[in-house]
Amino acid sequence: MREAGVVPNTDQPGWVARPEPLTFDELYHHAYGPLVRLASLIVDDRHQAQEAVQEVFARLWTRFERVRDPEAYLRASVINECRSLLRRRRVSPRLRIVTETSSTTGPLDDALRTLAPKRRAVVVCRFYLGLSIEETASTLHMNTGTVKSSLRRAQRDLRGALTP
Amino acid sequence: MTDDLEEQLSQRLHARAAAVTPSPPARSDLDRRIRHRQRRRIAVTGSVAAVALAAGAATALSLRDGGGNGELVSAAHPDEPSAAIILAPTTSLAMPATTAPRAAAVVDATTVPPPPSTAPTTISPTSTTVASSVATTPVVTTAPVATTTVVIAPPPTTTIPTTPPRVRPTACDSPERAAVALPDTATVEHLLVGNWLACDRPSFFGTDDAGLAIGADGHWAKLARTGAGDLVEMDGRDNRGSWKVLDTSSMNGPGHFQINLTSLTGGTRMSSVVLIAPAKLVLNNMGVSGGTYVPANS
Repeated sequence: MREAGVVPNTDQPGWVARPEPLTFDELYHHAYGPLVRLASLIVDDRHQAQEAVQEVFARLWTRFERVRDPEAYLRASVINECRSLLRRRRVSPRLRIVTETSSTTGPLDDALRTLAPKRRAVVVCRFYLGLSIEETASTLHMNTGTVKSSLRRAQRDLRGALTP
Repeated sequence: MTDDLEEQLSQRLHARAAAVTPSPPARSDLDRRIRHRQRRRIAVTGSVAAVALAAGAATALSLRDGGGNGELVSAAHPDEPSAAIILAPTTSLAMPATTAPRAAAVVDATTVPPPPSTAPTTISPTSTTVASSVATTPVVTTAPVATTTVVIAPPPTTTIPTTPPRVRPTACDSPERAAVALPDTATVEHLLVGNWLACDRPSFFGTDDAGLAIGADGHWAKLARTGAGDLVEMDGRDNRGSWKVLDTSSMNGPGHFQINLTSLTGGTRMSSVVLIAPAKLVLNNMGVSGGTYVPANS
């Protein structure tokens, strides 16, 4: 049996208590916009993005007291909700949507739309949220190896789509 | 080429995101959605309960089945075999279907000696896993006998192996002051090293372990209590492995860290790391699983 280790000494100088966490309403108003922007990059439809974000907030409501880090929970949940939506779209043509307005389209946007849900989520985490490989893996509940290979394949697909 | 593509991607994604300027809908809309979710949950729960009830009823009826041939046998049925004794399963709902042997419930009268008068006949269950004894079950028979009582004997007493009684560490109930801000990865790693006792069971892992050992050499293991009450590291590929702390402050804000507990099977459990004064470790995997731990020497 091993001996007990170091006891965390939280009274030591320089350790500052965190500010009070946000209430649910504050979080709703503070995080709604960024989350819809994040979701719309993945599902490529503003209304479905708002639906996904509201669904995730409704889910959070029932377990708000138990979730230690609501913002991280929301971010991960929104991304996973969007991935589920994209998967459902593949099997149900009714859920396929018309692309966004022409002002937001270009060759790269068209190429992004062709990416598989998992690869699209990885690209958004990496290049929009600026997460590291490890953070992306943690958010998407993947191994780092899966993230790296998804990223590599996504870049290959995008390059292929952009090459005339 | 790759750097160019990454740069383009980043710019394009930010430009597209900037074009989306949503404002949160009224809170009443969200409340409506929450109520709808709750109603849906109640409906699902009710459906599951109804199915379970139907399954229970089907089990009860199947116990009246004459030897499992698929036809229900009713005591009042005119074509009922005259030599059959059918038990009325008055306690059948309490008996799991898998442990209620049909063969024990339906007894051919030819194998039972003729009852002298009202003396009970004892039939031993074919399986010792019968959970409850059925005493003095009424019997319906068309044979010209007065009354027959069939008693299923209770199973032999079994001994369940005992484990040391679970004691909740007293430090778990100490008043919490505040979460502490963690400065850097090295400090977090330093503070995490040691033996931690789980305040609740199941633990963060969803198992009934007593605690978590986090070693300075990068290994972790679940802890168990021996019969003598000592803490030992558990064996098994799922019960030990390596750990690593990640700084997630770029994603979650300053002072946020994550611990990855990778087992020898290769699976990884991830959790945010929160330390609460006085010395408490809170692990939480996005609300999916969580656990509170206190130092083993507290």
